[in-house]
Amino acid sequence: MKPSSQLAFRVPALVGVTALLAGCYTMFSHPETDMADSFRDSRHSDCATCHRVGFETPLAPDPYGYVAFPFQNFYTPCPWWVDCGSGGFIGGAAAGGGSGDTEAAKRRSSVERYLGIRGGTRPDSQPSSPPAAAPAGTSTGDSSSNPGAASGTKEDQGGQQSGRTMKKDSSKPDARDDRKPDPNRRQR
Amino acid sequence: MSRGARRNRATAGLLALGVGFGLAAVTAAGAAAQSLAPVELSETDLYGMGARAMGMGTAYDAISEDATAIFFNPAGLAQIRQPELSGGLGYDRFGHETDHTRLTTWHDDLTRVDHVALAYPVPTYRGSLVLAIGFHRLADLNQAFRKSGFLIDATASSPGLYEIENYGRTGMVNAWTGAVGYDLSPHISVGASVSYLTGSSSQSSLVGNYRATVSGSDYTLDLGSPSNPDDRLFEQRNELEADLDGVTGSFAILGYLDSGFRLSGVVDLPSKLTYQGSSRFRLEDWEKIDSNLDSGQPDFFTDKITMPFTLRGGVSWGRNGLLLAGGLRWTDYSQIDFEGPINIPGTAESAYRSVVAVNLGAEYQLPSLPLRFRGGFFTEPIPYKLIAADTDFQFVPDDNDPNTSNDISKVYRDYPRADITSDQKFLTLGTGVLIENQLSLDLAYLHGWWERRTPSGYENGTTYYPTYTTVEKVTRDRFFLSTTLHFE
Repeated sequence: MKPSSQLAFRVPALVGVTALLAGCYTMFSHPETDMADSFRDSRHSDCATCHRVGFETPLAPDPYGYVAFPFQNFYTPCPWWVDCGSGGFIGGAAAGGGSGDTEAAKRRSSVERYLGIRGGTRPDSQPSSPPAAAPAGTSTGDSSSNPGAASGTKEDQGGQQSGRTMKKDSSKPDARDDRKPDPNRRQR
Repeated sequence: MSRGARRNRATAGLLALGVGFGLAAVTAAGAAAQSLAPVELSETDLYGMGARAMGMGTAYDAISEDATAIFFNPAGLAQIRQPELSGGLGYDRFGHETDHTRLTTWHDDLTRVDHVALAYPVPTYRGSLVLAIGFHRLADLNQAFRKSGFLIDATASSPGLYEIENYGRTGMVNAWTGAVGYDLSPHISVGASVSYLTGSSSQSSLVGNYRATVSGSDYTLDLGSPSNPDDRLFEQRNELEADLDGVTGSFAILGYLDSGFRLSGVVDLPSKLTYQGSSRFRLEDWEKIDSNLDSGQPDFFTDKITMPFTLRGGVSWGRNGLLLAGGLRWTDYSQIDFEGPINIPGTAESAYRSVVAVNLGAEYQLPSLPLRFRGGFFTEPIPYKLIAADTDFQFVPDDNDPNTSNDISKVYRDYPRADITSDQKFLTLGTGVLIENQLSLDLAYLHGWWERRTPSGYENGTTYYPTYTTVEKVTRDRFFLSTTLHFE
């Protein structure tokens, strides 16, 4: 067998094995777990309660230099199946200007987009597992009510709850106007 | 047998044509066991895809954040977050200079669809899965070679020997591609593509050595006659039309680092090409004409070509609106299989070499305007080791048997190793504008050039005329205009 032919079989096999070893990172929907089933109600419409880590500190600000540039919406847009609000970003920070285009707004936009658009978190910031049940009363029923409770309380996430919701979820009774970033997503 | 057309005896002559710039023509009559010319395959001439990538010197493997990722790096599709439709046009101006007995120049230009591609991100809860389909030009088959001039000067008392050679090839290898990009982890995407290849190739060649007789202030050319024979004289024409189909694919990976770097690796699988077509031939000497060009049945052929693996690696880095990228592409073209290896005549050594192409590019986005500018540089080393040099001719007398073909005269050509004085390289420029935050319009300009010549010390194999140095200079100017539309 020629070396090129050997490579033709080995490369796909190597890629396949790598994929298997890496597990199934990409998911089309939230995995069916007892915890998820228990907290699937109107107060728990986003992920922030169960998945706390990643909401408090930026993992990295805009790694590819698109922040505050006109093309940022083009290459780091909100996924089409997610309602990101005005401006296309979490928190509604429009690209490149506007009255809210302060350094703080830019930073917030960068952080939130990083957290909210691109899938996943850094390996050291994976959601705690299993999430603990939310203490009663921590969900206030306001815009940051969440399902299930997590390793953090409501207060832990205050001020960072400007994420997004799945558009598919908007038809559900528990869909809410305020949006929270999916902690398992980050923008590249 | 008197000088006249003898049909359907083209086989040996066709093989003997040996134009080094063509391809399947030399094996169109395939079965004959004459030495094959070590053809130069223009299938190695990758066309590129998309104005943004081309403006960045094709250093796009580690960027690949739009639908052109189906060609550059399917793993990059995983970065797309909105359905995207992309399309583009390409304009190519080709200039060829041949300095043999004198300088001969030739220009041609062509405008074509560069690509059309559609990417669709599948809704995910975490990670990314993006599907894409597209059409693009995989390889440019256009080639040209022209030369003419006195091999032996004509005087009032003695006729000269005049050469003419016109070779042209047009065609493309088109790829209909399906691709997928998939997030394997937060920092790694993988992708794959499979392409069905289609296309066509049309070739036409004329090569001849003529007697040049001074006639007043001008001169006349002829091929001799039974009443005035000259064994040096010939004219050979060749026409070839072929359709192709084939398959290829790729596997790719793209890694994302928090520092703003992206790293890419791509394996392009071998391209399996099958040409099916017909060829016609005509060879005339002072005594006879062997031809199926003027009438009669063409020769039908099927040629199979396998282009080898290609390995690519790249890196990009972005910050503050500046995007830098670079990459390497390695292909061992000595593994080309064209109904067997293409070897240097008389040896077991391949006429092709292993090459590493380098690409570098940069892009800067203005902070206040939806404009961006880019530039780049890349090399595309010529994989062909040889150069088509002087021709020779062997007159074979007619045996007066119309059923034999071993009395067809033969055309030969020397193929010395080329002295590549300037390997192929390109400088690129580009710009882009964003309209309504949904439509990107990009323009790129590429200027490329290369030069090669017969090596010092080259001596031709003919006794009919002295050795001439052959110098080829090629310039290419390409424009790409692309647009990308996002759907919300």
